[in-house]
Order: sequence, then structure tokens, then C-alpha cells
Amino acid sequence: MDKKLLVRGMVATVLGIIVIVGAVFALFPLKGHSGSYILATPYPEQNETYPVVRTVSQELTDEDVRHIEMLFNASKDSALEVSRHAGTFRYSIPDKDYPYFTGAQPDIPSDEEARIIATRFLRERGLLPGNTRFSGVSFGSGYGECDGHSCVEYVLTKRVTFEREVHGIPVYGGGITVTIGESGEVVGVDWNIRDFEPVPDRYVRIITPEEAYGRLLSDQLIMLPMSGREGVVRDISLVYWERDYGEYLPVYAFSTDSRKFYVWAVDSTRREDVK
Amino acid sequence: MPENEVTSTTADVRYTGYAAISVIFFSIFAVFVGYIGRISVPYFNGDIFPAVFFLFGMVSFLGGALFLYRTADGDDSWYFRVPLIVSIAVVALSSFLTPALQVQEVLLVFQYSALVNAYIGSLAFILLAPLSALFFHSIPVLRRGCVSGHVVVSLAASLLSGLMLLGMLQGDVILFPHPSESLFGFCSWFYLLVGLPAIGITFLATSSRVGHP
Repeated sequence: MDKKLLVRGMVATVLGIIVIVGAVFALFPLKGHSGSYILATPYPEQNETYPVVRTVSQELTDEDVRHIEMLFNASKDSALEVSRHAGTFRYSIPDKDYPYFTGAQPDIPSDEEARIIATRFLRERGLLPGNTRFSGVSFGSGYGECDGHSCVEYVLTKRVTFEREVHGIPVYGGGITVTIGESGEVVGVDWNIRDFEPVPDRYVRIITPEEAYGRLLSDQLIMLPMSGREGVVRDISLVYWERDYGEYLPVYAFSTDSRKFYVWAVDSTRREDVK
Repeated sequence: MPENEVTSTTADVRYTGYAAISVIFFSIFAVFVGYIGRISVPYFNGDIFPAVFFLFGMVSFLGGALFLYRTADGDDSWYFRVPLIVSIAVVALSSFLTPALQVQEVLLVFQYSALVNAYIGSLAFILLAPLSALFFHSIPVLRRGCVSGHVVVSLAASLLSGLMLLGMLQGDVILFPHPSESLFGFCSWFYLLVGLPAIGITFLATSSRVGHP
């Protein structure tokens, strides 16, 4: 093979690609974007329209608060915070919810055991509504020790989360988190369930996942982070997001290894413009 | 003039081309300067990583092509120098295509274009070290015994390449041009800050010997 010809060919190919791509994007200017999100998952199949449901105001009465106190047998070692207007509450045994490390790994149940304990606890107290499903078990509080060669992590509590669903689609921010401590004791419950009207208010047309990805690239995020606007997108899904005027609207959630990014799935979030 | 006598001009061109190959190996330092100086390169939309690797990659590629062209009349070990230059070209092209493949219009043409480009760019980036070892070994004037020091430097950097390849096979695709925060991402930072510059220094240190054998 003529070596010099090979070299000339390589240079011509590389420069040719650069010139062609450069010319194409000179004629069709890039839409501005600043995030760097690489797609590593197929676009999901979605319906064209989705229901919009209205949330129900659930002011807690004195009787409701007393009932919640009875459910948890609140004592001097525990704390119960109730948000009457939002209809949510938080129960905690602070010394066990955020325990001190005692020098050894406490007896913490496995993920499956934690799920069973949390589910039974909520069901016995009527705190697991029908359209709520188990979401996962995660690391709660812990303690780490490093000796220069290796690090050891001790799990002190686990968190079992349950998602609220609206017509089969999870709700952002809504749900129940049960904290499991030593020997499987329930040491904390975060209850954030808002009722909604079962009959949809109306149906809205949503954008395609491809269009949603375009919004992601052009930083049209519902919550714009200060940094870290990049990642490999491993999953695309729909969730419901509660708007200020008390209704759940669909949004696309793009999951990377470290966080999720959310973009509106509807063309406009102004109520009067939604079809 | 005898056919085998190297002219001063040829030596200078060969020396320049060989020395220019080292440029891409020092890219990370230009990235730091770019971040600190908030330098924004047109077309790359403020993303300094691909901008630097494209510009430095092109300098190295053209220098390498010039070196290959000027040594084309040498021995058959010439072919072992080609893979490194090709790898540098792929790094430069992948960097150039990174902002282009994230444009909305392109998404409809090929959904995974950005992912494929990232994988190809990562692989070419990882191969810079082992292909440098092959490159040094192919130059007769640098060969000393079984393995010369220049090859050892490149092979040492190649150990990091192996770890990064392992990470890539496990799905850690953001090795290039944006190292991630995982263990394999840490390896790619070490590769950028220590491994590649060591190879770049080797190129510069041996350029006078290669240019004037």
C-alpha cells in the first residue's frame, strides 16, 4: 500500500467530516443548550392524553390529630409533628431515628424484612391507602470508619418508601417513608398523602418523550439545579406533579445515576391553555 | 545529495510533526485554564472539555500525519505508528461531534447518536496510552533492548486504561470528555493528570532524537 496515499486519505477524511458537519450547522444554527445529557435508554411508549385530577383539601380536625396520636402511642421519647392544613404528619423517636453509633453493627433487618415490617405497621393502623405502592428500601442513617486502607460502613437505620399513584402513575413528593431501626423497630414515619378526586377534571395532550428530551437539553426544567446539569439518562418515566392551584399534571422524569430531572409533559402549564 | 542523507528541512519537519503529537496529551491543563478564564469557544456552547480536545486533537493529528508522511519511506514498522494517529483523530472528531449530536433536530434521525459517539470517543481516549507504547516501539532509533523506557511509561499509563475500559464495559459511559465521579471516573482523572502528560513529556523528550536520528 502506498503509505503517503494512506496518510493523505486520512487527513482528507478527517478534514472532510469537519467541513461537512461545520457547514451543516452553519446553515442550520444549533438551538442553544447548556446541559449535557446522554441518552442510554429507549424512549418509552406513552398515551397521547392523560387525566388531570384535582387534589382535595384535607384540613385535619382536633379529632383527627388525637386519632393520629393514639395510633402512635406518643410518649416523652417520641415526637409527632402534624401539619393540619396540608393533612400530613411526621412521627419520630429522635434518639433512634438518628442514633449514635455504639461501636458495632446493630441488628438491622434485611431489605425484604424491612418492607414487610413497614407494610404491616402501616396496614395495622389503616395508614396505607389503596393507591399507594411499595417503591423501595434505601439507606437511612449510618456511620463510617476509615483506617487509611479501607472504610467500613455501618447501617444504623433503613428507610422504606411507598409511592402514591394517580391512575397508576406515581406522584412526585407524595408518599410515605417508614424508618426502621434496630431489631426492626419502627422509629419514624413521614406521611405525606394528599387525597384527590377520583374522577379526572379533564384530559390533557402531552408532548412526546423525544420532545421532552429536547426540553431537557435546552434547560426547560421545572427545578433548575445550580450545577450538575449533566448525566447519562438511564430511565424516562411519567410522574404527576402538583401545581399551585391544586391539581396533578403529568411531567417527564429523566433519571441519571445521581439525580432526576423533571420537565413538563404538557404544552403549557397555564390552566386556561391546557386542552 | 545521497539518497539516504536526511536534509535539514526534512529533519525539522519530522521533528515538528513528532513534537506536535504531544499536544493532545496535555489537554487537561488547557481545560483548567479554560474553566478558570471562563473561555467560551463558539459552536461548543461553553463546554470547554470537547472544545479543548478537538483543538488539541487536531494539532496532534496533523502533526502525527506530517510525521507519518515524512517517515513513509522507512521500514515496515511504520504501520505500527498509524493506530495512534487514527485514535487521536477519533478523539478529535468525537469531541467535535459532541455538541452537534445533542441538537434537537438530530434526535429524530438517530436516537442513540450521542451515546454511540460518547462510547467511541471514550474508547479512542482509553487507547491513547497503549497505542503510544506501540508507537514508541515502532521507532527504530528509540528501541533499546527488549523494552525501552518510553514504552514502559506508556504501558504504565495503560494500566489506568485497562481500569477505565472495565468501567466503560460496566456502563460508565461518561469517561470522555466528562469524567464521572465513580471509581472509574477517578481513574480517568488520574489518566488525564498524570498518565497522559507523562506520555506527552516522553514525546517531547525524544523528539530531537527522532527528528535527527
